[in-house]
Amino acid sequence: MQQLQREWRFLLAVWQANLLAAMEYRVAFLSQVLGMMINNAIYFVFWMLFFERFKEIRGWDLNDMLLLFAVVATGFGAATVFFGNILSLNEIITGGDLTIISPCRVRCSCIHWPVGALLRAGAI
Amino acid sequence: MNKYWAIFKTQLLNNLAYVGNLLTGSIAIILFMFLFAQLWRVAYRSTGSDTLAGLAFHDVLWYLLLAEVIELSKPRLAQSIAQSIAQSVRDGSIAYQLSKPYNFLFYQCSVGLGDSVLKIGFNALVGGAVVWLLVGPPPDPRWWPLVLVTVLGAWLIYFCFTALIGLAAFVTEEVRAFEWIYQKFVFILGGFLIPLDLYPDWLQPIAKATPFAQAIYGPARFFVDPSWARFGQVVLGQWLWLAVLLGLLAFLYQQSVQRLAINGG
Repeated sequence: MQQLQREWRFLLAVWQANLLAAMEYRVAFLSQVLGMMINNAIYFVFWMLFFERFKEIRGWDLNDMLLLFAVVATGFGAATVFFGNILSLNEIITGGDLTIISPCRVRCSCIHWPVGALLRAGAI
Repeated sequence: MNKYWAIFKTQLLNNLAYVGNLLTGSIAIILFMFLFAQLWRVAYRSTGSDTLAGLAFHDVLWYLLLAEVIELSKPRLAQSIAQSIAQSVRDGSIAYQLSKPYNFLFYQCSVGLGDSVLKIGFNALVGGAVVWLLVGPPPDPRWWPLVLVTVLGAWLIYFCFTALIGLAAFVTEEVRAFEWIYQKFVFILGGFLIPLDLYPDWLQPIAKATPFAQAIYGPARFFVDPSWARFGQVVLGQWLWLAVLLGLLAFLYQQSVQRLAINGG
C-alpha cells in the first residue's frame, strides 16, 4: 500500500513538473491547445461533406458520426494529456534518451504533457 | 547546385540503410487503402449508381492511392521540415546552419527530397499492389512520367508551406499546431479524403482554386483521367501558386533572419 502511495505521489509530481515545463513556453503552449481545437473542428468537415453527398451509410448518419468522433477524441485526448510521451517513445529510444533516465524513472517515461520540449528540458 | 545534389544523395543513401523501416512504413498504406475500399464500396452501393460525378469506384480508389502516396511520402511530422527548422531555432543550432556555405532553405529542400523519393517508390509499389488486387489495373501507364511531374510540383508546394510554417518558429517557437491545421486544410480543400468533384457545387470552385488542391486533387485527378488539357491545367496551377509561395518564402526568410539575434560564439 505504501509502495502504491509513493508511486502515486511520484506520478503527481511528474505531472506537475511537466505542466510547469509546458507552461514555460506560454505562446507555444496556448497555440498548441487552440491549434488542436481548430484541427479537430476542421477534420469534422470531412464527415459533413461526406454525409452531404451520401446522407446515410448502412444506418450511420452525421449524428452517429458526431457521437463516435466525440467519444474517440475524448479517449485519445485523455490518454495523451496524461501519457503524451507515449507518442514519441520511438524517438526517445532511437535518440538514446531512454538511457539517461535512471532505471527507477523509466516507468514514467511515457508520462508527459503534450509539448515536445519537456524531455529535452529534463522534466522526466 | 552540386552541393545540394550531394546533400540529396547523402540523405537518399542514409535512407537506403533502413529499407526495413521504409517497408514497415508502407504497411500504413495497405490499411488505408483497404479501409477506403470498404467505405467507398458501401457508399457507391448506397447510391445505386456506378459513377458519381464522372468517377467510377475503380477511379476513386486509384485517385485515393495517389493522394495517399503524395501525403504519406512527405517528411512526417516529427522529422518534418517545419519541425526541423523550428527545432534549430529553439535549440540555437540555426546559428551554425546559417553560417555554413549553403542556403538554409535549399539545404532543407534537398534533405526533404532525399527523404521522400524512396518513400514515394515504396508507398506507390505497396499501395498500388493492394489497389490492383481490390479493383483491377491502374490507369494508362503511358501518362505516368507526366504524373510524376505533377507529383514533383505537389512536393514543392508542400515544401513551401512547411518552410513557411517552420519560419513561424522565429516568432512562436512551437509550430506543430500550424502544421496540424495546414494538414487538415490539405485533407479538406485538397481533396485528400474525397475527390473534389463530389463536393457541393458551391464549394468545388473555391477548393479547386487553392494551392492544397494543386498539391493533391490536381495530380490525383490527372492520374485517373489523363489528358494533355488536364496536364497543362495542373502544371499551370501548380507553378502559379509556386511563384506566389516562393516569393512569400524568400521575403519572410529575409525578415526572419533579420529578427534573429545570435549571442555568444
